[in-house]
Amino acid sequence: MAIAAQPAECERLRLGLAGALLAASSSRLAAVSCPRFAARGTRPPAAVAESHICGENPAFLLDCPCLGTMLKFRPMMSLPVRTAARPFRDLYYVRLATTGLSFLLFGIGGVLLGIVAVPLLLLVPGGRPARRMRVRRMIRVAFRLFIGFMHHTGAISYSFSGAERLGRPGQLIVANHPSLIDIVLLIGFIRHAGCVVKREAWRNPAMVIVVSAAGYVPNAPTDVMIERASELLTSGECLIMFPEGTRTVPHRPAHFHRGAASVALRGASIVTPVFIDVEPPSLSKSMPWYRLPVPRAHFALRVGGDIDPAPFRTGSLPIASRTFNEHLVATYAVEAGGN
Amino acid sequence: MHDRDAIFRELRATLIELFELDPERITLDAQLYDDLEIDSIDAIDLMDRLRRQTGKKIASERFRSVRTVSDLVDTIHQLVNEA
Repeated sequence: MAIAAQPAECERLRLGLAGALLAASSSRLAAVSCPRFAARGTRPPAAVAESHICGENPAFLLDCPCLGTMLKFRPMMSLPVRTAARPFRDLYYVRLATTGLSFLLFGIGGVLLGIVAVPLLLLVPGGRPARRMRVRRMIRVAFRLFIGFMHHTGAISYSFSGAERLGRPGQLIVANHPSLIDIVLLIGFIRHAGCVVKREAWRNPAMVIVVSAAGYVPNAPTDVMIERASELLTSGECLIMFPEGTRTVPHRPAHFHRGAASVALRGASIVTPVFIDVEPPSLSKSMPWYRLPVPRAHFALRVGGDIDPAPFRTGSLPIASRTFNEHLVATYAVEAGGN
Repeated sequence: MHDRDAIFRELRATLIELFELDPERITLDAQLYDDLEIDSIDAIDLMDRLRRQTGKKIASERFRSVRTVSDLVDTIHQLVNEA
């Protein structure tokens, strides 16, 4: 990162916010006043930062995505003058290779699971529920291996707090959906969980075997999904849903479809939110998998407080599900606002 | 409830109760989605209710072609007068 702080020289730089904050920490700048960032502490949101370094009194202007405003902060001491510093890349090419390898293994693993492992597992005698749970356990082990691989090769880092509160009977787990691997992280850490999966999975010859043997629920048509999802919950299974329906743009306010709220009121005994935060954003819908952030992405999963759907079950279901959906959206908005 | 008027009256009462709509908004040519803001999730709740009232299940394919309150009255009419 080239930073020049010559007197009377004004320079406009565009640089990643992550890089700017790294410079900030290394040259002991004043803390950024973004409440979200201050609360999280270590992982700055990635964004394009405009930095103006003018004369002896440099200030950074940061385009903060969570506040949508420009933040200004000044260094507490003058910046070291550097003309051609080596950019900090956090082992970018190593991560690119391990990330690519991870997804390659995931693809191969998925096909093997679909055409070899699951069919073999289905040969083991037992009723439908027992078979289903065996398949889910196998998927969980496979996903844990995948996460372990990504973690140990340094492609990502992650943290998961409160996972032990997930996987209870009749529990509906709702989560926001910032990245490609959210479901992998959730399933990897929850025993016997079912989930609502994109209908396209049933059109893929390898995946259809896995998702149907595991008793996952296709997300369309909506009426069938709502019926099956509520039945599973009523029968005492644990179910994962992404109310946003699809991966969403990081740091945007959540838009929750009412389907999850409707399922919650129809069948869940308890609803538990999981807050997924990827900093800097990575593997999101707007960026291809090979566009890696610097520094490496950290996937933070936090389990929120249980929500009892019972008090919401008053009056007509359409009105009640709207109220419950607003409650869920508000829960996430509070969380995103800097907890 | 075999004639259209009776079906409409009953349907109107159901819509008012389920969606807390103003009675005057529910006319025969009101669009379910555009005028009454009944979306696909609401439609599921509505069909559940109609199934309990008529004792017959409206296939969701059939419901998909319903646009107005009048279409819905026709669909229910056909349903209750089928064999």
